[in-house]
Amino acid sequence: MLAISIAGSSWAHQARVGFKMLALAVISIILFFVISWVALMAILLGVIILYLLISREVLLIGLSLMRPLLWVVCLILAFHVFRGEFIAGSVVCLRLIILVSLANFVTLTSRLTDMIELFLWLLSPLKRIGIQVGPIGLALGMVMRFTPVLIKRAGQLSESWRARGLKQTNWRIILPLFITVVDDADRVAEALRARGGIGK
Amino acid sequence: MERNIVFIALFAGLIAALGLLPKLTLISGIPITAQSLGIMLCGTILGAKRGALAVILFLSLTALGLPLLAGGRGGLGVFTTPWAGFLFGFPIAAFFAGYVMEHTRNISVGFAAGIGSIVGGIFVLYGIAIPYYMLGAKVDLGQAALTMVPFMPGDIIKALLASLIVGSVYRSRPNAILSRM
Repeated sequence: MLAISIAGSSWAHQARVGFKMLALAVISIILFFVISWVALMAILLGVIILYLLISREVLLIGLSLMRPLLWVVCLILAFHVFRGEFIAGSVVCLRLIILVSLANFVTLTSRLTDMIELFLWLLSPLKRIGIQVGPIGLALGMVMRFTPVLIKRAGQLSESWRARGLKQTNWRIILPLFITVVDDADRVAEALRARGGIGK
Repeated sequence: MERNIVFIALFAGLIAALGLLPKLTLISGIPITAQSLGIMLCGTILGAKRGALAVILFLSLTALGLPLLAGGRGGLGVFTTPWAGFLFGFPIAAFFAGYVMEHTRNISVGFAAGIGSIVGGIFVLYGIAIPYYMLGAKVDLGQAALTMVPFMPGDIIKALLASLIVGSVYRSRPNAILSRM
């Protein structure tokens, strides 16, 4: 299914996912100690250059990912201006924009399979307290496989709802959607057991 | 074991499917996204632990880079906004919704699901999201509450829908309500 990341072979794509995540974590922590808005503006400029170093298209995609954040930032800034704290407000907003755009940068330049691999590796110490990682990997795969199926089925249900003369998709399609999923779940569980089951 | 894992995985997929549906329009004409309804249904149908695990699974895949959140959003960036308190609160909300179901066995399934959805999906969720927003956006309680209030009527309606839907699922597939097994 469609991931957010974009294919490419730039330096950012070639950097190891683990390294990118670690860098993101470290920078996020450091950011909370930067309280000067001039410094934050400089960092933001650096982030924009980071995007541009890959390509202009990536910067545009990055900007489109920021669109939902726009009104949140405006709202936060408005509250601070209302209290006469414009500088404090702009520091909060700048920090927020930097954090989100850096995190998006990591997502955009990392393959989903690499992210999952890292995620399962990070979970592997759970074995010591008796939690198996295998079933978690299986569950991740199942969600990726079934989500498009469920979205399609929801679409079919709303189509048949409209075919009966009712214009808008109504909450009433949720019940049949859940019933079919519950039936599927029993069959999938049976199929898994028939193939030797999951651990334990 | 297999049944639990499959239910958890498929319900994680359901939360995603509900979020990607075109906005549902209620009788009153208010458009809402069904994602938080998915959280309520997950908790009340699967029970506390499995419900929370399904939500964590859904959030993990979102963080790893799938656009599963309402409106097709996803990636690490959505977890760094001041609104992320809702996301971090989702599994805890599902847990408490399920907890209520598991501990009210003398009440009818549909009614208990409504109470569980209100407790988990409204009280617990906003109890996490509001302080998180206050810290992240550096605003006071009044301002944070003012920002969130427009979403509350929609959530109350979702809790009522959860009550109706879980009641109906119970009538047609009683074995599917894992929270009451």
